[in-house]
Amino acid sequence: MSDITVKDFDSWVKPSWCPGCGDYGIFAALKHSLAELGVAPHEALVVSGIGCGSKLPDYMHVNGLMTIHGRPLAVATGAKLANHALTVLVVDGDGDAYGIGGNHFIHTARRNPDITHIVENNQIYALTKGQYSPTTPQGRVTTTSPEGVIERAVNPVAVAMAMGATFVARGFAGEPKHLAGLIEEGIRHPGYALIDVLQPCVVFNRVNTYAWYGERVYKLEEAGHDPYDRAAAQRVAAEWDDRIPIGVILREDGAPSYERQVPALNAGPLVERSLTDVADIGALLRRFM
Amino acid sequence: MNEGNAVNDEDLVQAIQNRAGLRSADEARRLFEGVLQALAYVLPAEQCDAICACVPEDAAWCLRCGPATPDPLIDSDVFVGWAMASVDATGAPDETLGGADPLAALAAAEVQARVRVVLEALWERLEPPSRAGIEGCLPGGIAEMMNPGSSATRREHDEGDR
Amino acid sequence: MQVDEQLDSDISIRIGGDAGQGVESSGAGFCKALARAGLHVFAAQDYRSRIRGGHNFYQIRAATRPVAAQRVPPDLLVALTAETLDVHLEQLPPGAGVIYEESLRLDERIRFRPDAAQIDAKGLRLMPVPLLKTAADHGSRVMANTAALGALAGVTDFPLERIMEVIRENFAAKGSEVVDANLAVAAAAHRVARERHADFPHPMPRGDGRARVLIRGNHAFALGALAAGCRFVSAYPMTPATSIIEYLASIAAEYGVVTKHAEDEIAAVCMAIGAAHVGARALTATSGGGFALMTEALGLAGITETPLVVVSVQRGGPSTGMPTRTEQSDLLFALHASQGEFPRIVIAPGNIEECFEAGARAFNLAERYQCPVIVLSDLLLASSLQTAEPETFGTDRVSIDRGALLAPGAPAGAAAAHRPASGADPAGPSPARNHPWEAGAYPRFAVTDTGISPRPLPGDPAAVFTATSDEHTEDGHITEEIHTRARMMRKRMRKEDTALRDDIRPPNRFGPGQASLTLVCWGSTTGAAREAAARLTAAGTPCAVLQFQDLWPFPADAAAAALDAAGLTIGIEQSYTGQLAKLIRMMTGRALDRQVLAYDGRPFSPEDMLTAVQRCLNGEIQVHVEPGEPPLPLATEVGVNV
Repeated sequence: MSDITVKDFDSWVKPSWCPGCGDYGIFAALKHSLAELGVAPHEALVVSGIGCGSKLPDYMHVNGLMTIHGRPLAVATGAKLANHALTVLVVDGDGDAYGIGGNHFIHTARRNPDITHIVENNQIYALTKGQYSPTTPQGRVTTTSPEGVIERAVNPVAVAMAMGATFVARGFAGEPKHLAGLIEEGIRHPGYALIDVLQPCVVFNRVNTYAWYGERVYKLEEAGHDPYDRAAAQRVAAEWDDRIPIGVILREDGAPSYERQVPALNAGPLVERSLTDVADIGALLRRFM
Repeated sequence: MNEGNAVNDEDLVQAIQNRAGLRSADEARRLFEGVLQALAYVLPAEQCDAICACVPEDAAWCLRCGPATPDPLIDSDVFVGWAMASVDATGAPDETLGGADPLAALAAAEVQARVRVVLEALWERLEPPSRAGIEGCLPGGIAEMMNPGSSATRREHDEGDR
Repeated sequence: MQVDEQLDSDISIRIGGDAGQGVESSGAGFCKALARAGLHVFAAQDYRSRIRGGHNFYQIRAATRPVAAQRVPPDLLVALTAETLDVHLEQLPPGAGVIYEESLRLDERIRFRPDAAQIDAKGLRLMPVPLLKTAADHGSRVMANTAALGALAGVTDFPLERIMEVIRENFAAKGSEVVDANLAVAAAAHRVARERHADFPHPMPRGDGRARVLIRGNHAFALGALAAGCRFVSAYPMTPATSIIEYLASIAAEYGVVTKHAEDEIAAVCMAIGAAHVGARALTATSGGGFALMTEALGLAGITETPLVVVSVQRGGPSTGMPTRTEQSDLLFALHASQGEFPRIVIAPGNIEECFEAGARAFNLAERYQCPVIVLSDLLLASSLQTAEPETFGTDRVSIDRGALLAPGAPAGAAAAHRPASGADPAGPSPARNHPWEAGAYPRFAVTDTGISPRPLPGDPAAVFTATSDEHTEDGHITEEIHTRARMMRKRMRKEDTALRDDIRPPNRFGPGQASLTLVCWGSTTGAAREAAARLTAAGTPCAVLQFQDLWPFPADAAAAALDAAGLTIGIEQSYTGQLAKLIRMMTGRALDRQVLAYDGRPFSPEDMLTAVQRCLNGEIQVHVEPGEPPLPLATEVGVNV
């Protein structure tokens, strides 16, 4: 046991989330998992985007970097490549990760940097107060879909798997202990880990409530799912509506992370190298002579 | 999935409706069920049984919906989320900024008051010997709502300006 | 760099052919041989061509003094196709030589042209060489470009051994058979050319034998960055910036550089921001279209005070524009890109040495001021081959200054020592939550007199901090508190004042002490301007050049003083709207007297510039350069009337 506790992550800033927001559960789970793993506040970097949940680093005593809409994965990838000794996490919402940041999502999934990506998926744009998101179900009435959403919803876990992600899980904000276990496994996984979190938005999503999820979620580990079985994972990923699986959907061990395959990083984190270790560029200049 | 199991104890529902100042019995029923479900996530089976014994039979499913073991990471912020389904915190359209105007700050006080009503109603019905055990298992901030005799000290973040 | 003030021994050569005839590689190979012989070289795939189809050509200028621009007209044309002659005939001056593939029978082609008499009057020296046959006899027909190099050396009396040396190196990877065949082809073509055309009167100047670096602006910039400790580059390929990441990728394993070809330019700049945030010297490289995609992230670097370096290599715009042609039309865009106001530094190298220096300096500026630094290059500068003295690129020329970066553990003391800025910010009372970092969080954005806050790196146990794209408190937490907002804006913007005071350079001035005429320019245009000014001065009109290298924060006082002593000012820019002139007027209230504007994507030659200047002197206020304009005769004494 390390001497890091949840208290070490307390900040003087208190969350401004709505009462009962699913983000509280995710917040509690994240702090718990870091403490469990013995990751100190200075050893982690939590990168977020824009959205209600992306304000999380503001409420936490940890190295935080709140970026711009849709881009936290790219920023986090740069940070991880420059200092892979840091435990790098990305926390953002469904609009950030699967909408505006969709391109970075699919490419990060196949790139496999050692980043744990927690998506607070409330199926709505809550910070802008009630527009449909990429994961809003078809037909749902929102302020930008007064006649109902026309597009089909994104299935993020299926997308991540299709892109070759090596760790794909789903948690439920109403069960923070279970979620904390997923986050711990995600952090331990030496590659990109997607943890899509079912997050009730108690104000703008009146359908997918705690009770709605509570009645539907079941735990994959209790159902005997083998996350190493890709075909089984595909089937599980397709489940929704009546029964919604939570837990580790897919994992693949042994795939090296992106940064482990970059020759320049073999000797250690980039930021620990001296800036003057290329003492003489004469050898390079001679190639231009 | 439990629509056939709605709580039909009209007296209890009526009492909650009156004490919480709710417009409909349906709202009171949803509130009551939400709080019971939240309790199911934080209480061990033994305490759930104790509550079961003092609520109508048709509400028992709410106390059976939780995980196999209580979730210690559920704090008062998450706990009240279950009751929020009974609070419509979406205000009128916000034509200045777009979207609907959320009433989150008002909802915070409202949902706490509502949760308090349900918890107090349960407290009154609970056999005194089981009260302490239940209170001890509740998240900080929630226990105090249930036991009117406990110190009114609430968790710091509940005082914050939301 | 010393640009020749008097025209010395100087030759201009064009090698033209179809795409797929190895024009670029032959031209670059010849340049290498010239540089090794101690000549100064300026060469580029030329963009003057207005001809459809596959014709392209390489323009090489070699001289015994430094040259920083192309020169028209060419003294010698190497024509691998008949079309080459058609395209360039008009620009060939009297007595110019034409080396051509014998079977093209260009002499007959000319005889049947309607303007045969005028061409005849030019007295061109037509020099057929059986390039294809020589190549086929000694190697294979695909070696005709090698034959052309041999013939070119023969005609200009350039030492064949220099060509042989380059051939050996360039073909080494293909095996000795290929090397030997190419050597035989070059030697045979050289022999034929010597036998037939040894009397060509414009031989290659003799170099001083001093070995020089022959390099492109993008490579010089990359070397500068490497020397300054840049070990991270993320980019998305975009002409003409691609060769920066390609070059760094080619040496990445050897020199320990992380290069990331990102999924788009947004990811590229964000990766660089992430890397810079945790302490790497990080670079992203792009051109206008990619820079447009990066603009939102530029503001992120601004408000999070991240030392980001972006090099944007301009090309013809708007939109896709002219991807392989040069322009300088992104200046005001770079100055204003991204919403809101934040400090930034914009610098623009004007020659190959400045490209190297900018590669290094940009990182020092970025870390000193903890803000985005935009290096504006342009296609001509980025892709033309130029010689430079090797010592200008020495690592010893590069100093590394990381500004207010704190060593691990140091933040504890720095935080304790921190006092809110005195004097500099009298209007701003401290926010309600005064010094929350005393409870653990570090004041990463501490308000100081210079605007620069001590900067720890994530990972330091003594300094846990949050940074955000939102307005924030000194310890990085989101706020919209009125006084904090005002103080933070002033704190950040004050960095520009500090930079202006300590680092921003006045415009460079070249030319005679007293000038009646000053050409005002920036970027690659400077090379041609300096040469044009030197010629004007030699012809009796004292002409100076004012080159703006540091464009933001704008050195307004120095600019105003220089302009006031400049005589007639002529802005020379490769854009339609004259963006530097606008900037000067905005920041100094001074309008340039005349403007020369070109937007056809072709690089300026000194000759183009002299023609345009002559038009200005003839009374035109704004000269829009016409493609293919015949040169105006240069008045020996120019009357300047301001």
